[in-house]
This record gives sequence, C-alpha cells and structure tokens, in this order.
Amino acid sequence: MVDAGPVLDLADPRFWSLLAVAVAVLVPLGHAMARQWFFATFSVAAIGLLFGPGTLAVATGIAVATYVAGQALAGARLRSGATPTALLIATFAGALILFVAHKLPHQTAAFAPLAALPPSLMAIGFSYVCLRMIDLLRVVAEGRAPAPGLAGSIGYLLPLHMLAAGPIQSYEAHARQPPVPPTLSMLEVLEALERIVGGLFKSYVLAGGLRTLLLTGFEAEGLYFLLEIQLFYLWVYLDFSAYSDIAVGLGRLLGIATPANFDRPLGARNLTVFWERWHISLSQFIRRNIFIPVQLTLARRAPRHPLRAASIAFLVAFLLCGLWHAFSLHFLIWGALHSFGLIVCNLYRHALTQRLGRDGLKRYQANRPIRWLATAITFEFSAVTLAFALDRNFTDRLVEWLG
Amino acid sequence: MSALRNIATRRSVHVAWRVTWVAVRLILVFWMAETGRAFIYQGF
Repeated sequence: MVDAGPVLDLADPRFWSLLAVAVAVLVPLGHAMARQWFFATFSVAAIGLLFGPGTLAVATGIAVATYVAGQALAGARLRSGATPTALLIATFAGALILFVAHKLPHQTAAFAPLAALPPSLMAIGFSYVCLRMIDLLRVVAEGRAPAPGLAGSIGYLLPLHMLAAGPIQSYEAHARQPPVPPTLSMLEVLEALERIVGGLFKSYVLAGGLRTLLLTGFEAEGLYFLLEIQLFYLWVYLDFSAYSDIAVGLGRLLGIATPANFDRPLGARNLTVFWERWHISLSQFIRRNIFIPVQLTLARRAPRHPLRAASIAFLVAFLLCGLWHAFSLHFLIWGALHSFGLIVCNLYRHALTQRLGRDGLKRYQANRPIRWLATAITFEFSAVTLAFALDRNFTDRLVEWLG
Repeated sequence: MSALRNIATRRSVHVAWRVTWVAVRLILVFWMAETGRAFIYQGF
C-alpha cells in the first residue's frame, strides 16, 4: 500500500514543542514587523532543527530566490506599467526545474551537486511550496499585491504548521490578512484546540484504527474487495483532512490565516461540487492559475465554442494536477479520468439547462432520489479512481476480481 | 426536568463538556499512538 502521509512526522514531539514556543511568543506580540521576522526566523530555524542544515540551506535558498524574483518582477512592472511576462515565465521555469528535480530523485541524484536537493525538497513538502511560489510570483507580476519582503516571503512559503500537507493558501488572501491579528477570546482558543485535537483524533484513532483493523492492502477476497474500496477512500479522507484540521487550528492560535482544505467532500453530488470540497486550496489554485487562463485564452480565440474551451481547460488542468501528485502513469490516468468526469458534468448540466430551463434544473436538483443516486455515483467514481492512483496492488487485484 | 435542562444549557456546563471531550480525545490519541495499535493487533 502506498502511504499518502506527509514527510513531516506529526508524532515528533519536537514539532509540537517548537509550535508551542511559536504560539507563546506570537500571541502577545503586537508589532507587525516583529511578528513577521519572528515567524520567518522561527520557521527556518525549525526546519533546520527538524531536518538538518542541508534542508535549512535549501529552504532558505528557495525563500531568498523567491524574494529576489518577487522584487525583480515588481520592479519590472513598475518600470513598464505592464505584466513582465518574459521574466515571469523565466521564474516559473526555475520553479518547474526544482519541482521536476524533487519528483525524479533517482535521476537527479546522478548529478553529484544536485544529490542533496531531492530529499531536502521532499522534507519541506516542495510540492506545496512550489505552488505557493508560483501563486506569489504571478500575483506580484500582475500587480494584485505588493512584493513581500524577505521575512514575508519565508512566512508565506515555509510556514511550519502548513509544511506537512498544505493548504496552499492564495498569496492574494495571505497578503490581505491584518498584520496583527485580533486577540483570541478563551472560547476561540478552545475552538482552535478542538480543531487540533479533532485532527489528531481523526488521524490516529479513526484513520489509524480503520487502517489497522479493516484495510488489507486490497488483498481480501470476494465482496470485501468492493467494501475495501469504500474504506480506503474513507481512510484517505480521514487521514488527509486530519492534517488540514491540525493546520487550521494551529494557524488560528498563531494568528496566521490558514484556510480549510475539506468541506464534507464525501457527500458531493457531482464532480464539480466534489472539487469545491476536496483539497479545496489545490483546486482553487488550479482554477486560478491553469483552468481560467486556459479557458479565457481559448474562448477569446473561438468565442462561439465556450463548452469546447471549458472541456480543453479541464483536460489540461487535471492532467497537470495528476502529474503534480506524482510523475506516474497511474496519476496521469487519474487526472484524465477526473477531467473527463468534469467535462461530462459540465456538458450534462448544459444539456439539462437547455432542456428543462433554469426552474426545471432547480426542481431536478431538489429531487431527492436523483440527488442520492448522483451522490452515490460521485462517491464511487472518486473512491475507485483514488484507489487506482494510490495503490499499486489495486489494479492487479481489480483485474483478477473481474476476471 | 426544566431545572436539569437549565443546568445542561448553561454555558459553563457546555464549555466544561467541550474541554472534557478534548481531553478524552487526546487520551485516546496517545493510547492509540503508544499501545493501542499493539493491543488491536494482538486482540484480532
């Protein structure tokens, strides 16, 4: 079975001790610049303590490079009054090279000077850091927010409580938050603690218990194989959303906006709704930075074919989304299946609107049996594709089971 | 009954219940992380 867990170990008492120190210092700290510099210094120091000096150097290098690129993009925009597209593409290319380096550790390890990069990039969750880099640089280049200082770049790219498994908060939203958060009441502190402990409970007791007691790595025979597909999906949801809950709770205590990543995705009635509720920060990143730009470009070229533009944009966005998860055929197919699912959803919705009208569509959506059926289909589609993408044993066993 | 209901809806009781539930979950987390898994493996 492939473990979907992050590199950062939540069972490591050093992680919690460090965060307790950060909360103790940040809560009474009322000066914006002091908060920013403390959090930046704390985050890189914590990375050094948890992962060693090599990772500390790589993380600092990434933050400094992003800071320099951000300043260069803001400067170029100021001089020309337009988005510096060539410079933006060059910075994206740099981020992409690092991304490929950390996804292909064996290949890059062959080059001695780069051998230390992949493990260090894995340790800081570079899949997430890279998307934050891209979001920040694009927002700065388009003049939607000012370029951050060095401390601001570190605080956005490498926040310790979000290294484990995201979320990938948008830079625009991050830049908009108040520099000094309002003081939390005792009840708000309790709510934050409930979120953290709820996440730990989900991860260790519910997901841990489910995995230990009920998952067999798709080795079970007969109907249990079908049941395990559902349980595997539930396990991934519990484990992944647990990390999100912990990050949200910690962000609340630290006074750093940390968006929720999951919102009852198992009850989604179609794939469009599913992607509004599952790994929300990733799907919003894809929407902002891939889907909408591709769709707009195509729609401008062929304004009479909006559905075709949306379909191609879904395909491009989700093939890239699959490759973001892992450079594997399984994840590429997973991305293709989800894009086809979304295309079908979009076309079906369009056909229904044409046939029933807006009021008819509302009545259709309110119909309870249809909603249950749609939710069940979405659940099964998500469960099967997830098992296919994450577990190498699943496909062989599925062929065996069907045959 | 109404006296009981008054006590149950009092804010302090509600907060105390939430704190207790946090503590119970935390104990279960530690138990699961330390001995729970081994216990489950042996038990089944």
